[in-house]
Amino acid sequence: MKKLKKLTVVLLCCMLLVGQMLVITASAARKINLTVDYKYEDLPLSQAQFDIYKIATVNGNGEIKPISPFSYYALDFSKTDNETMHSLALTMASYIARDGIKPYDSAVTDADGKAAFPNNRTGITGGLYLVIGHDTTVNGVKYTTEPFIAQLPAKGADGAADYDVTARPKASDTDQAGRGKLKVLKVWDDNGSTNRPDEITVDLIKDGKVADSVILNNENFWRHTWNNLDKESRYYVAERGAPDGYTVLTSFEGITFIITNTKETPDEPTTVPDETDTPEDTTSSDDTTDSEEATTGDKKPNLPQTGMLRWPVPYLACAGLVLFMAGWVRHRKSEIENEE
Amino acid sequence: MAAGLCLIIAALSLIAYNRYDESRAQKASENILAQLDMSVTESKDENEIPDYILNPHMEMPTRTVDGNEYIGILKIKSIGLTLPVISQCDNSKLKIAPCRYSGSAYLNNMIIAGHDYVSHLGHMFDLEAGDKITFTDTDNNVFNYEVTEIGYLYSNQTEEMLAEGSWDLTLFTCTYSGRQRLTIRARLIGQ
Repeated sequence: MKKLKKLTVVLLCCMLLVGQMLVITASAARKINLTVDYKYEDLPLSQAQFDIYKIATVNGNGEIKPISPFSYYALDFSKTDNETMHSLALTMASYIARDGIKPYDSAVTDADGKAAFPNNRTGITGGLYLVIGHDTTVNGVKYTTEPFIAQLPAKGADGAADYDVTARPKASDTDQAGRGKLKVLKVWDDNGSTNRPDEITVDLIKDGKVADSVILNNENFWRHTWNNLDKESRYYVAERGAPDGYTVLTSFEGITFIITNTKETPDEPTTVPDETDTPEDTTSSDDTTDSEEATTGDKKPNLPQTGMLRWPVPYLACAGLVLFMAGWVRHRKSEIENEE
Repeated sequence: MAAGLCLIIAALSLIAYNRYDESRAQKASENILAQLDMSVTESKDENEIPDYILNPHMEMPTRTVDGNEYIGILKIKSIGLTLPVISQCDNSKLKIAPCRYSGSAYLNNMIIAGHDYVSHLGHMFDLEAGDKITFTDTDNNVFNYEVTEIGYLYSNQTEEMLAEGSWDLTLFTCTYSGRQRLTIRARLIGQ
């Protein structure tokens, strides 16, 4: 009986051990790997540092929930189309550069242009990641790449989770700063709200430090141009303190950073269709011809008077000539009568 | 006879005043054009995309000369016209140069009002369909238009003037009587 008990305990221990091993094997199989394969055409780009930042968690329904510190920024993760995600990546990269946020993990591309994650960590947990590639010079040519967002694990073509993800960021051999010139343009997406702030401050970040700050407002048409920039440096722009009730999205087109502030709860569209109001009634006191067409109620004012006062000239001249002639004839008649 | 003489003198005075006003308006717009030196805008980078393409709803940038804000220069080669355009419209501004009555060149709905001075839009009566109009904004973006429609609206037909149509630019000025507005509609043919 004692032997049977011992055997049962041993069996139970074995079963527990096997169970434990199965769990370990299963979790090992679910380890997430991200490989960055960085090439320019067929040329592997080595010695490029890639930093990854965990920005959000994604639940089973695909709902994205930003995590600290990215949850403190006025970012909108409700749209997941490629263009928005691309702009979100640039927006967050700007904040990272300005606020010195530390990466979740970093790796440098090898001779084959590959950087593997996890690198400095034991593993990567599932979620949404921002990947930022630093500039690298190969054969005397500087290559740059745009920041991008990757979901880990990724969704495979069959809808199943893909735990071994390879990202192939697009490399460019064109300097961001072009000829040393960059611009920033503010766009308000708020149905012409009257509650916009009077001005906003934008920081220009050069190699992780604020190099300049500018105020954008109506007077400068919400835009600014920086000239004589260092062509070798990487620049970002970040809006300082997004206006209350607005989200921020930064995109880059040509040489222009476009910072779009979108109102979270848009106002009703304003009734003015254009950027300028139709002028108020500009009829002047000398506008005698339009006086009888004065506007009433909410009817639009008359078109402005754009003509010189010429119409009375022929009337005055004709009437004057007739009267003058009549007077002259009468005068002549009386002269003749007096002579007789 | 004295009354007739008075009326003739009144007519002559009106002609003289209009001549004086015409000459003053010509000098005013020429003076503004000379100061509104569009050639000093900074050189453009080959990768640069005009701001109005990135944000068509942006306010049209202006330059201030003698206290008035100008949005650009209007050119009509067929009638030898080159005029500055003031950003907003009122009677005093119309005596200096044509004014933007409504809309934006960036949204293809700009309407420009101009006085019928010979040096302003007085020769617009000579325009024909197919004539070319050019507008250059203060960023040196050039918009080329072609006249498509020529018509007349009464001064109270504001809604019709502002109506959207197959045109991208509208110019208007008074007729001789002042009761109607000669209305030129033009479509964008290139930028």
